[in-house]
Amino acid sequence: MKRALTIARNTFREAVRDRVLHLVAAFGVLVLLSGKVIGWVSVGEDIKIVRDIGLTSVGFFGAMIALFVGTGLIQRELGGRTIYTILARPVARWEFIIGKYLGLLGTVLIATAGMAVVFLVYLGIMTALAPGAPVGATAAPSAFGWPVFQSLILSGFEMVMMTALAVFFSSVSTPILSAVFTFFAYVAGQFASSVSLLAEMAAPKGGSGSWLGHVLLDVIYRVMPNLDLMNIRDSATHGYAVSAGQMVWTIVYAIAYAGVVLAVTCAAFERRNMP
Amino acid sequence: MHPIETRDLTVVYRTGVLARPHLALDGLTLHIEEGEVFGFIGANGAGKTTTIKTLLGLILPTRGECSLLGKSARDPVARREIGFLPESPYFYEYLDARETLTFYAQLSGLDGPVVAARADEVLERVGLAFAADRRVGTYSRGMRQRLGLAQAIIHKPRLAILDEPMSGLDPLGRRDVRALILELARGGVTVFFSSHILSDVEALCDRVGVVADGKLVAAGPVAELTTPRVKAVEIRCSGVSKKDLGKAGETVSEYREDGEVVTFEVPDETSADKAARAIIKKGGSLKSLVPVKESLEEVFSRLQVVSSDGVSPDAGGDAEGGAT
Repeated sequence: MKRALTIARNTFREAVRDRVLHLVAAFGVLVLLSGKVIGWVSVGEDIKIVRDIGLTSVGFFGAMIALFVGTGLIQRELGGRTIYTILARPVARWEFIIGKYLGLLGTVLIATAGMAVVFLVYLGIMTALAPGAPVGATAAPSAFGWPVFQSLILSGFEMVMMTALAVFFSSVSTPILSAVFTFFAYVAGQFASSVSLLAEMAAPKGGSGSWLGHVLLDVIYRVMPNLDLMNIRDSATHGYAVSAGQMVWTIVYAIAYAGVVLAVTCAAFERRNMP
Repeated sequence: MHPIETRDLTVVYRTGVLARPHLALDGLTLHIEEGEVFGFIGANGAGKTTTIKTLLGLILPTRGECSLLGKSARDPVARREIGFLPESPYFYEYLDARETLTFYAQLSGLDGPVVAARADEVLERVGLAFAADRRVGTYSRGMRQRLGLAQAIIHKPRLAILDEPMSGLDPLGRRDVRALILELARGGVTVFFSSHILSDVEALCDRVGVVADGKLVAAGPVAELTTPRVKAVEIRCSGVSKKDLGKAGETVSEYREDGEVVTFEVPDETSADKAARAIIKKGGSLKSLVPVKESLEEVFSRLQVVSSDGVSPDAGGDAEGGAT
């Protein structure tokens, strides 16, 4: 495990100097700061819009960093042949994969945390500058309430899953294909609960539906990353917290999903030739 | 226990479902003795790099087995005391040389303050101390090659596997690498290296293996591979000309006159004997009679041609690679 951590440290050091990371993070900050512009067109809803766009930007651009930096990660090692000098040392292949994953996850989480800090500071400034609530209006949800932090924490665990998927696709396909697959998984993952609903609807009931469609959709639902589960931005925007039980279950799911993806990646990489 | 041992090592590449399988290594059996410098030579695509990658566990053999320092090549522990230089090594562009060496040292199990001291020592040894803090991305090809050597020896390995170590180096760089290989050998390190530069192989190696079409076609001490073949006999004499040699003159080649002195070659010792008698009979003076042996380059060329013709090679040494 010590060697995996050495690889992780090195991956982190390499990734934080990657221009793509700086570019995506800067764009993310730009978009979340643009919340105010959109807020102008929705009178009285500035804070809510800033909060909504901010939380969405942190999640989306975090995932994009995992995608852009992560999908070329293993292929760059193979194409650049840096992998030869690493695997020619007493390094097991699983240590290499876990090291790359941890290094990339560290990079993605720090970039996401950076964007989250910018968002919170910006939200704080907007809240301080906002005029008081009109007489008779219902109390607005607190700008820095627990729901906002819950949403940011789950965005972090969304990165845990997305980074694992980026490393998996990067180790089995070309950089372009792995970027396409990772992006597809990200988009599909946002609609996981809809797929689950479709699977239920496809189940044979009263002469309609088919087992094949039901089973197929159910398998897709179970294999795809349920990023829908991580998305509590709507309720956070409106100031509603989710229960502690749901938070724990969601976090356990994210860790377990990433663990399974990494186990599959290590198994696939174990038999791979490095010609 | 041999530092390197392969038995019936066979690698077949399959690049696609419909692609024809390519036999990259064909039953290669070889062993390297402790402390020797072994040169592995062959044409491009002969199987040198595939052999090295299979030894290091980067490629899985289709058949056969190989071991490093007595352990299976698939076991990462086997690589603890191995130093490897790949052909045209690549490194992380954003790291400097010191960071790069620290990374590799830690992967090999070194830790603590010894790493920094060892990195500086090795950078000095390969002549890169002046660029220790420069990003590797700005290095020339020769500097990368030197850094490649530095990472291969940072952890003081017992076995160094070097793939084309002289590649990309200028004459001074080549001289330094030759000196480094000899220094490693003097320190008891077993060195296995592949090279296209046969003069280097001839000068450095205790034994040589020649690989062609994935097969080991000859192996043994350089002297054993080259000595049995006397390709011609060079005769220097004076007081005679070609026509004085009579029948012996029919096989003469490379004939040249330099004032009184005549130099020419005859194909074998029997012809040389006849020519010498003719010179003396005609009252000439025989100055020297030198057998012209095959160089390693000529042995190599002959073995490549023989192998591609599918004929069993006739070279000194032992094609099983076990001659010591």
